[in-house]
Amino acid sequence: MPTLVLCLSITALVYGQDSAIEIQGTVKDTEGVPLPGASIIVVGTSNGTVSDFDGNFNLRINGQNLGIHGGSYYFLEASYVGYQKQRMEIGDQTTFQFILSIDNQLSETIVTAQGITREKRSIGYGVSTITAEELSDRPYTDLAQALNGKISGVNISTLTGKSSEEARIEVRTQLSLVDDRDPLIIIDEIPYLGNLTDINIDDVKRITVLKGLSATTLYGNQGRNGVILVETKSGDKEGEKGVRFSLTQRYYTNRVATLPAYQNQYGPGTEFNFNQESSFQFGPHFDDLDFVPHPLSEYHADDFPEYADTPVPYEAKPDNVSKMFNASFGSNTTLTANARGERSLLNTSFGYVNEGGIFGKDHLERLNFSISAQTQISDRFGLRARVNYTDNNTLDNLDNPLKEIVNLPRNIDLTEFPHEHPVDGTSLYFDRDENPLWVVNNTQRKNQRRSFSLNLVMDYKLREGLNLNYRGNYFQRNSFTKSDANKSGLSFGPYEEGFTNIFSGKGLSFDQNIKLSLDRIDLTNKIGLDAQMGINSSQSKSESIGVNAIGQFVHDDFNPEHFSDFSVEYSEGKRNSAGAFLQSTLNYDNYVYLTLSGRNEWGASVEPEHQSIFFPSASLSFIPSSLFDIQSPALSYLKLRAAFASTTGFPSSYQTRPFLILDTSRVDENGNRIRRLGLPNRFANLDLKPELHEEIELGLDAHLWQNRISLNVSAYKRVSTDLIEGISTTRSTGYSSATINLGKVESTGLEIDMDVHVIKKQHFNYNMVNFFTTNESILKESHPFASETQFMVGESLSNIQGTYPIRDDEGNLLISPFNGEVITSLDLDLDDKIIGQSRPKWNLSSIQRLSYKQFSFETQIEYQHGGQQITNFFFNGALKNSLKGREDGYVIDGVLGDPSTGLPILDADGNKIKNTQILNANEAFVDARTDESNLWGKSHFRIRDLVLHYNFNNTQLQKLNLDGLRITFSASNIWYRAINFPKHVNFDPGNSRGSGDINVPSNRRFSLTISTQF
Amino acid sequence: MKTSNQLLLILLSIFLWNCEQTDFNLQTPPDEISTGNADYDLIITGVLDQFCREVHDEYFLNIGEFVRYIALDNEYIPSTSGGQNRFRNHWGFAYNLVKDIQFVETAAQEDPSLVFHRAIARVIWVNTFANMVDLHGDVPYSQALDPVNYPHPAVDKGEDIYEDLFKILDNALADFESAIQMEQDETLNPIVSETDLIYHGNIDSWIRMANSLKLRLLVQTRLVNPEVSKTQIDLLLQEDKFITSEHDFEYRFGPSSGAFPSNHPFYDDSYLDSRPDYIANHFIYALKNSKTDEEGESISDPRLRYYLYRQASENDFDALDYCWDPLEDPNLIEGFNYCFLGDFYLGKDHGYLNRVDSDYFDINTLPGAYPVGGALDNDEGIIRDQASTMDGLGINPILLSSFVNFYKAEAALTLGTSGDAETYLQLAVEASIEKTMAFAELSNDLTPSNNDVEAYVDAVLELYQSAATDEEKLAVIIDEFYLAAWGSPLEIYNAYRRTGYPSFPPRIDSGVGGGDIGDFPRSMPWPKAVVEDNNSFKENKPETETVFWDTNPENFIH
Repeated sequence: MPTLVLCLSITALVYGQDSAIEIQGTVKDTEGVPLPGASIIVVGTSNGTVSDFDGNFNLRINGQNLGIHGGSYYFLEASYVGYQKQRMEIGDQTTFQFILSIDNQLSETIVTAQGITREKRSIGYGVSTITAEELSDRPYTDLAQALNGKISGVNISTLTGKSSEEARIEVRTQLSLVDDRDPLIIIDEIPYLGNLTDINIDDVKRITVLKGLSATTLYGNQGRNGVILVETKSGDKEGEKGVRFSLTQRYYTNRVATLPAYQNQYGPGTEFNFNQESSFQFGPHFDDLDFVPHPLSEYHADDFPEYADTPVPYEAKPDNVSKMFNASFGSNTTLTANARGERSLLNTSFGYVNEGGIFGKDHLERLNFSISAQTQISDRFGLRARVNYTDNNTLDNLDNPLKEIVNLPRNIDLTEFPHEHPVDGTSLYFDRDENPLWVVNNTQRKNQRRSFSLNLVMDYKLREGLNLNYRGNYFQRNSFTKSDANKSGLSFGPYEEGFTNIFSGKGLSFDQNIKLSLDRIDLTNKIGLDAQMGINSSQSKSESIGVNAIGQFVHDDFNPEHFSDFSVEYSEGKRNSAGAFLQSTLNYDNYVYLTLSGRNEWGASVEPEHQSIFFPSASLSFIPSSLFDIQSPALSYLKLRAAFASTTGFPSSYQTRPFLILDTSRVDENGNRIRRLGLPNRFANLDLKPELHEEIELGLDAHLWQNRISLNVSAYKRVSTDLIEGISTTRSTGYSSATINLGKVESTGLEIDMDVHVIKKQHFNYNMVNFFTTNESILKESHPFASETQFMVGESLSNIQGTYPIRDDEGNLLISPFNGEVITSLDLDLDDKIIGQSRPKWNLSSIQRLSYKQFSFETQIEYQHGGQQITNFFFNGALKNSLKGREDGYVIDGVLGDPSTGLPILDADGNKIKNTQILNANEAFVDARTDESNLWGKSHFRIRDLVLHYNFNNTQLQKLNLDGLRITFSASNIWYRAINFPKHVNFDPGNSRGSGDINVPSNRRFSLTISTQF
Repeated sequence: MKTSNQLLLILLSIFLWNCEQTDFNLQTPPDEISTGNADYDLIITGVLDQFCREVHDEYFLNIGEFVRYIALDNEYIPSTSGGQNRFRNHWGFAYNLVKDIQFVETAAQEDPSLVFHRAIARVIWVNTFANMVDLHGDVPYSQALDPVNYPHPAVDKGEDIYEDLFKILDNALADFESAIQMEQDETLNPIVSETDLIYHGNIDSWIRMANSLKLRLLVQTRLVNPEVSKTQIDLLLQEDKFITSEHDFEYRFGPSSGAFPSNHPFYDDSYLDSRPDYIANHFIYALKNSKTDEEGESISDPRLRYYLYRQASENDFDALDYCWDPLEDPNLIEGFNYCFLGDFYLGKDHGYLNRVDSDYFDINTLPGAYPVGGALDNDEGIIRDQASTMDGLGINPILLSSFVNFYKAEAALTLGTSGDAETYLQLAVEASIEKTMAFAELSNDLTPSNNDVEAYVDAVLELYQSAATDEEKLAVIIDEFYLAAWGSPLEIYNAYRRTGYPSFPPRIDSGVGGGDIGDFPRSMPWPKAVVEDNNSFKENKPETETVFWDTNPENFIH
């Protein structure tokens, strides 16, 4: 492992020998409960450590530097979140007993936007923090997935259970209508333009999520979708002097979580007639037919005469679907080396993930490497640099053969007959589609994404309390995607001729920031002030080329040059933006804090008159518990906060000016290319403006019941105006689409975090963390360009519009007397109406943490309420739910209606007539389906994960000669239940697109992690 | 220098490392052609390609069924949204095209040397909007192409649009005159030959086209403005600068094979798609059986083997399976049942709603060599996959010299403009036959001889002479126009509403194959998508609403 050798050799340079003294001790609270994870440092140095699970710590310090030996260091300090710091003088003793008492003043500091460290009590908006403990040692490779359900107001969705899939993160509500919801990622105070998946979970020390606009306003446009501040272990400033290594190794299994429950009584066809090619499973009962033709006899009899004459038994293949899924494994290795000297430190981190997916060729391989170095050149001047490299490789199949697989005829086991021709490799199947197994074996998409970033940070102390800070960040990403498909031998379909597509792109960005900060100065003895101001500039460039080749000659040859026809596409772009910000906080007697800030942003993607936008913000933090000196056990701390903030959103580039399109796609009668030039169909909107978003947030933070309950509540209202949206325009304008500032959206939301330390004993602790989130966005104003059916003013943005069955005034379904089927809006040629909402009404998640001695256990339970989706794949008769009524037929519950008027038919007495017409199973399942009858509520329960740790204590560690050791067993996606979906569907609504396409189902994993420090 | 100052200097220099950081003039995409760099020749190519191909393809595909070229197997205007959207693409193409014309117009204001470009653009503008009005009646015009002020353009009256179009056409003619002058003065920005897809930069040809278009519009509006039409047409006839056979306004397609398939779209539909459309039996009948010689023997049209291709021969044809029993259909009038017309021509009746199942797709009659670039009928009778075709190298016949003579004949007969209607009719028919026969080469023994052609023309003239009334004479003219306009159904859709001819037999509907095909659309509904996405449109108009130049009574055609 050359990386390790490199680390060690660099480490040796930084780390010099000295006369070490070994000291040890414990950290406990006033009730004698050990405080694990408390930090202990030698005051004035960066030398320190953290307590272990029993509150014990060991620290090695250079004796020469101690005051008693003539050095300048005298004190040891222990600190723990929510407790007062405690200092002890280092005399002759080598054993220290810290007893920390609860801190009602809460002097805890956190890092906020632009690297500004602030006391938590002074902040007028809500932030969420999550530590490594809560994330690591679980079988996730995507940091976003690991965060799921652990932060209120943050919605994380995974579309499929594929290993190559990346989760999407949305902080609070969807702010823009355009599909750009990714929050800004900041790693160790530097903007990171890569993906969240490119961050090694085991290198994460702490994550802070800035949710509201008040928190993110200093980042301007970049931060409007929320900011995720990641502090890494490899970027850690604090720690024990010397060289330390840590190694985390995890192995896990990866399997499909749940599949639908299939029926095994009826085969393919309709109305009890056998038809192998039917997409419905309403054929004859398996007992009623002995033999059927071989699956390949219909279309491949010429090539395989042996099948043509050999009927096969007509019988169910109960595990024909489940055997198509893989039982895979994954592993994740993280090695970090930290070398710390007197004034310098060097950290390296190396991570490697290798994971097999649950279906087809799906595979993920990732390598992360980072080095960060920092040095204090003089008392005034500090320098820090970090290099990060990620190489992310995924492999997957093309298309989605699963659509065929989940609906496989009940009598077909794909593994029992060949899926490709032994000579020419073409697809063999019982119908005219490609065999799904052929698709798995003959198509692939491989993607490589390499990103490299280089950061430089300089701090300069101009004078006491006045600091200058420079941050520069260069980021480069190269991506390469190649999609290959063999020719299928079919006369139509996506793989008919075979193709290969290559897409290669690179993106560069350069981001710089200069910040001047004034630390707290006291204007009077009660009024204090601090202030920060800065400017930043960022530029990015991108360039990409794509080659699409069709017409394969030789099977398995995917060199595009060898294809009969290929075309090239190319694009490039450039983008600049700049900002200047000022923030100042006034503090009155440590119980009122008023923060005022403003940012001016300049963006080059619009015309000059709209390039500059200023947005102010203000927040207030008021701590009545300090004002009134409340020290009751019931309420020890209370903070009320209010904030107003605004921010902007710039459109993507090149939408304001018209340009010409050159079309060369045709030839004249002599075969010469016709080159024609014309204006594009998209209207160039010279008047396009940046978006304006405003948010008011109110909230409270409280510590109750001897600090054992911590409550954070935030409510907000957002008003977004000039929203940028691509719309379709009516054609007589000469254009078919335009990007415009659409109108106004109002969103409201509520987030509650409640942390309860239920049981607090020396050896047994029970902690419960609960998160509640709800939000809603309503379109308030639209634009004259936008059609009224596309954007409905006064309605939610998450509307689902669709077709629906007709009902009478009492809500009965109207049934056609001609065929016994439901009368639908299509029959009456009615427009679609709003039939549901895709956004859930609220989410609740609850994390239970129990610890007993060296064991700790954690589980996360979630419930999502409301929200709907259209999903219609359950009704082809393959699932168990289709067995009911098969033999006797169905009567749809409703009254007879006139399909041309949509009114109920009345009998001679003027009464409605109940429907008694019997439909057979597949008529009832297949016909007269509307979107509304395929609309299912997404409410569901879930046990997301389950974690069991065993921590070795110091005594054990000393025997093993290690600094730390922990073994963790963990499982993910243990159980879910979608209460409104049909019973046998086993559908995971937390893992799908709204439209209900069939994707790779969610996965379930079990992992074992060994994490050690030495 | 103090350390702090050194440091500030370093920081500042890094920050302003390159001036690109402060460059905010980034609104023009670097990988596209800016409007300032426009090559106006290529824009003319685009305008012509859009009008002569994209827009005209839509007519071919969507109007053929109304005038019995292609068999109608559905309602005229189906109630489903697909049917209501029949002309959705056409609207998109048409308004996109006029937007590029507007771009040329603006540029020519700045640069007078672009006057030839502007003149062509104006002619196409006139033709595009005239067709829009002919099809849909009232359409957005004065508020079109101005999304900032009129995001939802309201319609203008058809007659107001036509009035403006006549003015623009006169301006275009004036432009051509100045272009000739400037060409002599060498101040003209000429058009490079290969970029003018139709006339290769020849100003004279364009003048002929503009005059012929003007004739077409004057005949079109003759019912509402007979005096104006007469006067204007007489002026045009006096000037006598019309399209002749070497100036036919037609778009020539490229081959279907190769990396860039560029063939006639109806070649695709007929020879490459899995479900080719059926030819309407009336068209087959009109070509094959509508003329007789002195002995009463049927004379087949010399164009028949160029127009239609038979996939079948006696070996594989059993017509009895195909025809329903005509006696059971009370709506069919005796003598008009040509369900099967003999000689292995398999088409389908207009309004026969039952889609014929795919068993017949290997024997039905297909469009031939002219104008779609299909196969010539050399009596081979083999399936389309094996037939030797022209690979889709067809044409869109947009305005031909034969059409011009039909218009002259109609004007002479109905308005009394100068010249003899019969002479014009003869010229028209001869031009059409000559053009068709020159398009591809039949095997020697099947090529119609001069005598065959003469006999056919004589039969037509005999019909004309024996017609008792002007009305009957008009029927003869338009019936021949119908045969000559194969490939340009819009001409016939207009003629049918203007004159009541071609003489189509009664339609069959209700009873054969199901429901009613509905009233004949006297104008096309606006596309459903347009009614929905344009807030100025509240609801669609009935298909019985007439276009302003159609003053004929209700139920006048079917």
